[in-house]
Amino acid sequence: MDGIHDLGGKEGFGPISIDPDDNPFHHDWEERMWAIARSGALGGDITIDWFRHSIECMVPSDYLAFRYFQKWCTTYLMLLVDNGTFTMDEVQSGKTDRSAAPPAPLSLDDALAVNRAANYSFEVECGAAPLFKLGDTIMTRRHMDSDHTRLPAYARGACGEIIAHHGAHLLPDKGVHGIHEGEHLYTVVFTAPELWGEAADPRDSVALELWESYLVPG
Amino acid sequence: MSPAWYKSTEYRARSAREPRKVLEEFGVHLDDVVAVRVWDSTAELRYIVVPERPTGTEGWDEEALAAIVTRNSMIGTDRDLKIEAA
Repeated sequence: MDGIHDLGGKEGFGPISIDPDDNPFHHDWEERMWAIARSGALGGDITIDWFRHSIECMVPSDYLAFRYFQKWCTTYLMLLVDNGTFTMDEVQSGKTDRSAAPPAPLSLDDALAVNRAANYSFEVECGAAPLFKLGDTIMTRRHMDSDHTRLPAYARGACGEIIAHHGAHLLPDKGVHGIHEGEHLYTVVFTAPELWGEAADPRDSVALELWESYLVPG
Repeated sequence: MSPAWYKSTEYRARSAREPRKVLEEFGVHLDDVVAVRVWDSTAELRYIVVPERPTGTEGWDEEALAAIVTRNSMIGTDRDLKIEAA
């Protein structure tokens, strides 16, 4: 979807706030949100594609106003209502009648095992031969009508060169619908002037990983 | 985990389009001969930058070299490693 989340290349933003203390968290609740998300306690049915798409569905003004972990909190709350963990009445009252003992804390070894298990490759088998090879010139599609795509708006309808083929990886555009299929994935390089216009520095470029269905022969 | 600035609206909006200005804000000044390639990671592949070895570190062992590598240098927003940090 062409949402506000697709920020790459949007202009008008000011300097980057670089915290000299380098603290990733600014509130206690942000640490708790991170820990809960990493614990695996929120259920295995929430895939990375579904989670990202859920964030994309936020009202644009909220998306821009909410802090990073506030987006997580809001999105997990919505997902947990969606999958029946809470009801909206419980969310609104902040209370539940159901007694739910918190799960026993994980040992350090078990917590590390959970995290290691979450770091798996998205490369999968795919019956089809790749349509493109290294050095090919391609054009990206101008329009993506999938609900969740990883082709940024700034790289639509652009001419690029394939510099790597990674085999087939799970396609997010289908994964968001619960269809877990692989498609050939490539690294495509675009010159900065191709993406940003003639005033861009001709020495510079952007590399993107793009799935085969995002591309047409150049 | 990634630093807060990495997730900021400003970094996400600006880094692909004006990487040289963004790098200036991190104190990285590039020579005219240096080209910039932004890797905007759109799949579940992750990259780290292997930082350039600074002059004056000839003969250093792996442990000594690892000690001067910064997190930001592996993201790409820190370029010239400081050998006095070791």
